[in-house]
Amino acid sequence: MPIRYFLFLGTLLFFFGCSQNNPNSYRNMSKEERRIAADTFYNSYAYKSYQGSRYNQAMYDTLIRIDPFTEKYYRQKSITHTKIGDYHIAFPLLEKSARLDPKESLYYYSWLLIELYRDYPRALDYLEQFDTLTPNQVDYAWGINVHHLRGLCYKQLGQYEKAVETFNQCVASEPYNAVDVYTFVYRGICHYHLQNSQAALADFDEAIRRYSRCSMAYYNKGKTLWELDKNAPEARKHLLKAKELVLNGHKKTDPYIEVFDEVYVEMVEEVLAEMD
Amino acid sequence: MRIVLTLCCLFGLMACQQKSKPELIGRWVGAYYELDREEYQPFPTLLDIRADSTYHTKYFFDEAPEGGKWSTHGNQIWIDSLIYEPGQWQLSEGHLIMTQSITFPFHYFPPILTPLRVDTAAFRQMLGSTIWETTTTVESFGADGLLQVKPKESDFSNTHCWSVAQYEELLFLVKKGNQVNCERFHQFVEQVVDISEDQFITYRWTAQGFQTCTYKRVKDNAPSFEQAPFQLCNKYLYKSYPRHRYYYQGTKYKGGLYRVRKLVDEQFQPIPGNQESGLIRIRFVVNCEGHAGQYEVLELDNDYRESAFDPRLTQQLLTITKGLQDWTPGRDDNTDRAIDTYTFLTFRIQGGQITEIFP
Repeated sequence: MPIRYFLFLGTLLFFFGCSQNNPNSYRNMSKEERRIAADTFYNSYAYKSYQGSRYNQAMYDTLIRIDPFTEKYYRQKSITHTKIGDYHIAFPLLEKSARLDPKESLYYYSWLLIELYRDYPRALDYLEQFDTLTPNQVDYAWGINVHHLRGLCYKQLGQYEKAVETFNQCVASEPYNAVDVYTFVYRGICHYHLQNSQAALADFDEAIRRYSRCSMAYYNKGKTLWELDKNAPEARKHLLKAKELVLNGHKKTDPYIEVFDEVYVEMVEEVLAEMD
Repeated sequence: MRIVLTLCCLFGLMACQQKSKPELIGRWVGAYYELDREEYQPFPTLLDIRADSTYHTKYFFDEAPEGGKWSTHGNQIWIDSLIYEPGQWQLSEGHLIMTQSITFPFHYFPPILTPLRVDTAAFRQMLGSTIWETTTTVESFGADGLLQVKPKESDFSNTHCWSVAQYEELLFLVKKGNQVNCERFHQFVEQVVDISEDQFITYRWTAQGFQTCTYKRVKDNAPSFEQAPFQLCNKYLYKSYPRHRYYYQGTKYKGGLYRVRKLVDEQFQPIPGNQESGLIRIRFVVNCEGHAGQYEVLELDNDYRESAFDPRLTQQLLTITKGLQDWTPGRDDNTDRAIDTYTFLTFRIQGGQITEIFP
């Protein structure tokens, strides 16, 4: 019922506008009462507008006016802005959410800083904060082991030794079979940069053992083998396998971003061309 | 007594049923639907609600009219088996607003009833016979169905398609399509309300509201129409609408960011002595042909506050980005047709050097 919804939204905004001069409104309610009022409003109207629309943003503004103490309204309002590169709008909202409730906020925000902001120093800082909130427990930010995410940050900063150390922590923090296949791939890439070729190959092999269509592991294994021995036929074999896998759609991708070390056919072909 | 009571009930019921019918009966021209607050999209259709409980719908993108039965039940409107609850339809200042989905109200206006002295064929011929101007545009209606529209303040024109549609005695000017084909992307439909020798007047929705638009013959020095170097395929692309953004639509550079990085590395020349840090985000549209345009630059410091880099640095990145013209356009997941989408490249700068290109 958009007409009723918009009328209601308008009435609410009008009411809150007036409440600046009327202290006997939400300001006199307890935090809990404001939380319940906002929650009720959110549950009734959140699904009635799409993310990013002016109505949706107005709804979050209204919710923040009713309940300025709940972090999720700031965080959720920020999402659409991050997705279209309006970081200057999203960032203050995310910072506010992190101040209000670090545990809830950083589960998303610390991951986001790596993947969509590529802000590794800040991500490391927030991952550390997030991890220390629950000592002696393996933490996951947006479902990913924080040690894996920290390892990615160090890798991207070119601090490969620290990255390997952190990926090791990640492997040690989980039952071995539960470790993400890309923890091995990314640790292998760090070993490659440190010229620890045997350790790199062991990691790529482990990744392939876990996921036989892991084009990123095949590509990096092929490249490592070629660095070791310019005549190694195995190197070409692995690169051709990587190319075949990518052409058949077997590659790590994400609709919003380029994943770290994403493999493209052009990359593989360039190494193959160097071999010829 | 029973008979009298039954008759009274029947008459009462009929009176109740008839109450809202006269207001709805008539022809309604689809003006727009509201994709967001003050964000209007064309809705080129005609709904003819008749007193005999039938309705006919003519879509201006489909010659075959459709139809069915309609009725009212209390304050509900039933269109075949679709129910419009009281909050989902309203009559406001003589206009009909109907909302099937949650967020998109569809807005109809009653056609203006004025006798026209020209039939469809003659009007079509008249349009093609010369070039026309409005207060804001110069327009050429080609015999091949192509429409060139040149904003008066611009040196370039955009290509669309045109046709004339008739429903009973009502005449409509239909504009649609783009530089690629005439298949989709209708514009706000215009009802032709007056025709004279040197001008014609249409009634249509614009961002400023319902307005008449006068097209006058261009008598002197016919202007040339040079196609704009970049044209949106969808004139009504909306940045805040997720389906008009790159993600999940498959917009990408051929060879991915790997190739973008290589191209940038080949061309980027650090500014000597520049130690600036932060982000430069360049947002643009990749149209359905894979061409990029409509660039917007945002410069931020490392704390995501708006700031300004050395213009030589920003300009260089903008020039390089404009040179990236090997895009694969996004595709509509319903039709699998190529579409326009907003996308962007963000350059993270540390000490005057590019350290990351994403997303």
